[in-house]
Amino acid sequence: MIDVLVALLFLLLMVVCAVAALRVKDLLAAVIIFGAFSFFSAAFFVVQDALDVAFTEAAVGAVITTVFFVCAIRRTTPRVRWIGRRQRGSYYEPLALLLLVPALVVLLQAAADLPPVGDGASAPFTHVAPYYIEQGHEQTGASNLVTAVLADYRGYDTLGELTVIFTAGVACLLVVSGKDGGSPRQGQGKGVRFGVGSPVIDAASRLLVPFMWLFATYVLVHGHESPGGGFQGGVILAASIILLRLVRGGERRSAFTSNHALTLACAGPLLYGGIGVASLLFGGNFLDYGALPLPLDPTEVRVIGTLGIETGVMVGVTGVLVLIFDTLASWDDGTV
Amino acid sequence: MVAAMVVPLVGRVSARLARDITVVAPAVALGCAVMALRVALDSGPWHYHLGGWAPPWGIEYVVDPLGGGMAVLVALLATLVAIYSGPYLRALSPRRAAVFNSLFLLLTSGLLGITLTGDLFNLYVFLEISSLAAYGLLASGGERAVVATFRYLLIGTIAASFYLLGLGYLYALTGTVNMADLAMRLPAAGGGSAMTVGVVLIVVGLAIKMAVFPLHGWMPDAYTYAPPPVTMFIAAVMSKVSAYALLRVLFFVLPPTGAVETALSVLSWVAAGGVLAGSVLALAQTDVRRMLAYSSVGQMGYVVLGLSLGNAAALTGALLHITGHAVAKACLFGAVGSLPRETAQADVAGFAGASRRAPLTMAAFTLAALSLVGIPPTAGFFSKWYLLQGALEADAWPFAAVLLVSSLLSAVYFFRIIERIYFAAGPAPAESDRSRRRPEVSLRSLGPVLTLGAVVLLIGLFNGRLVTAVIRHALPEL
Amino acid sequence: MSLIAGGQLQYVLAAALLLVGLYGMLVKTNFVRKLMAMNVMQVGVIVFFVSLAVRTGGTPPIEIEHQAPGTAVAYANPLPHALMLTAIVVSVSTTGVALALLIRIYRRFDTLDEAELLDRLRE
Repeated sequence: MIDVLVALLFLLLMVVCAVAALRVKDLLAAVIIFGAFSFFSAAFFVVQDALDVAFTEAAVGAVITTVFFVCAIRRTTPRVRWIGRRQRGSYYEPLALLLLVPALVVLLQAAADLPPVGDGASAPFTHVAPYYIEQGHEQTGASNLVTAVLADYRGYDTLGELTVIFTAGVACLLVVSGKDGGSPRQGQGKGVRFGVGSPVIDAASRLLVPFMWLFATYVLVHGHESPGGGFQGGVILAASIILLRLVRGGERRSAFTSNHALTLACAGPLLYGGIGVASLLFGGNFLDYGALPLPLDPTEVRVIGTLGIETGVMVGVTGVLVLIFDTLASWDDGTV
Repeated sequence: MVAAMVVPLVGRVSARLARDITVVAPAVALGCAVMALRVALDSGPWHYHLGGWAPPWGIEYVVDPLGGGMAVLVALLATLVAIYSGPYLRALSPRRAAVFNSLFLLLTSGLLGITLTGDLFNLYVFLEISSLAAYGLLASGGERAVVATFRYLLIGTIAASFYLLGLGYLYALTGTVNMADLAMRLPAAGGGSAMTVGVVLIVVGLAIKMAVFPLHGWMPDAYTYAPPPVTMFIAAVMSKVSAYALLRVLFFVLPPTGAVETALSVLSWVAAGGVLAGSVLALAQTDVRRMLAYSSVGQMGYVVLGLSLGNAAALTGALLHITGHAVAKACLFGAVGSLPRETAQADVAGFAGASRRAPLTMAAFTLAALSLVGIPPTAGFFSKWYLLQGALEADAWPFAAVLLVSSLLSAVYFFRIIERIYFAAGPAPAESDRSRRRPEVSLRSLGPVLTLGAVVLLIGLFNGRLVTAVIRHALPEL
Repeated sequence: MSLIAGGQLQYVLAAALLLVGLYGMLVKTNFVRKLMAMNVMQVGVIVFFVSLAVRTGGTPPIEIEHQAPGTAVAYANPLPHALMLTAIVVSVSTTGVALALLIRIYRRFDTLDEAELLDRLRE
């Protein structure tokens, strides 16, 4: 009973934050509130026993999305950023309500037909899922059933997911570099004016980064047994690089350039796909790790295969996220 | 089996990619697709279990004549557009061109993935890959394109979210996301409003992606401002693949219950409206590309109309129209895009006398235009013929009327252009051009356009064969 | 309300999030707000799926080692979790591209407001 209440509390907080983020006048404040929204979502997911989802939402939603938003609007003028009385702010409210209120009613109606939350006898629990739950650990060697599903049973989806984020990175590259421009880093102008300049923060971040790397690797490797995996690990790794960028003053001062990021971004999916093709070459289906000729027993081979693709995911995600960050952050270079 | 797997994997592209891979890869994909289609036609649909896990626990690819046919269409157009985009890309910096190619390949693989997958969630993933790649490509056409693309992004994401949520409802009722499995379990899952909502959400989501009236708002701007090769490919293929997805869901996955029937009849009225609206709006345009975009709205309306009528003839017409229109639209946009720089203004006025300056290109253009109007022996005539048959069979007189009226309307706006091309006096070519004896347009741009025009004609001439060999087998059991 | 009693309140709240997001996207003129609303909408969908995966008295879908044989443990459903992980990644990807587009728009038109932008386009 108590966790139902806690879950509902977090949900309510989410709704409140969402509405607030949309109504606050200062865009920057809105973005921060939006970060809170993501955070409460993650908390909600924890209470709902969705640990991997919570982890990912916290890392990706609360951190990366917020950073991206801030990056994008930091160079806008206050005139644009402050939705004052001069601007309309919104339109056609009655029209939208006309559409949405009936939609709400319909959805409420439909909700009545859905299986009650937590019902163990509902369709999702009696079909497909029990197989994962019962056989997952034995067949794939993973205790974390979500990883088992994500990396093994539905590994192809995960490859697709990696491709999605890769596509986004490439698209960002094309969009921001302007009509005839070069790469985001070519501008010689003012440069990205980050650089906090405080020695305290500088030292603190330097201390933090190695731990972040360690943690990211841990998350990657231990994703089999505990919440985590390639995506989360990649996000943490990317976050550490972005942190350094923020503190040190930008991409040009870093040893890890945009080009490196791009290479990583490409290497990740290639590794993932490569493992898949390797399986093909050894007689199995695409991404069937069991076909890999390793001198281990079948479950362990699958574990290695999973680790391989998760590494691919991590590498790719790190590259892409840093790439997108660089793209968003360097736009004031005057590259057109 | 291996062959079919390579087909959607062509998107693995690195940054330092040469232009040539971009052409070769879709060609390879095309070969594989044709092979796969052959197999599907000969021995029935075949299933491929990814990761070695059988469905519904794993994801599977299903290649049947319908999916295989669509894959061939996509791969063919991708190859042609890749060739076409050569000159356009040469004007860009090498790095930018590489990025462009990369996105193009990603788009292609996303679309191919949609046509081949047998899993509804996998479809969503590939849908997003295609969409994101499309956003990037569309936005590279300049500032106005960026605005149009942003709007498209917002609407497209709403559409994808609807689709996902609808899928969620279906999952809640059945516990699976595999298409064949869903087809089996949905009838038993009863229905009630949860099922209806699921159906509606999925249909609306896909409809938005197809630019079905009245959800088409994003399309004209997006098509008008994007760079020519991009429009050529996306206009030809993206809405078709979404239409394919709709067809799959409506006829192969969902049971023929009340919810679906209501959805279909609503769709039919909406489609009819779209056909008329598209044609009328197209008339009002001066910019040729925008006119073509509105024409697409109308043409997709034909397809949806065919789908919603539900009988064999109508579906045949719809499928034939998908094929014919994809080829024809690609040809039209390609022709418009390849006009020499002096006529960069793509409005109707700029076409004056074009037949003298670019005779072959304009011939292809005319051929494709005739197909859209529906004049024999081009493909368009036959697909409309089937649609008409289907409408009459279903006693849907108003729709038959709509078909005829809209054909007349499209005749009007296309003949307007054709007349200018051939009969209007155009500006004399510049002195320097005449002395240099400039060729019409580069072969790279010309070849694909001509090929497409020829294909339009071929489809028309051989449509009987096409129908019996492929399309008949692709139809769902009714 | 019967919905609460029926244990379906979560679906309602998921729907509420979805609609708040949709409302924000349709009604607000500022592009950044539209984007945030888009994210809210997507989170709504994720909440929906996660609600489907909940098991009363259950535990996260990570196998507990060393159980006495024969004990049945009620795990939450891992399938929607896996699907939603993908959905989150898709969501951030889309947001990234959208922000890149916004930066271009701002650079050229000096506004992030749709109404202003339409005015400027008309000039």
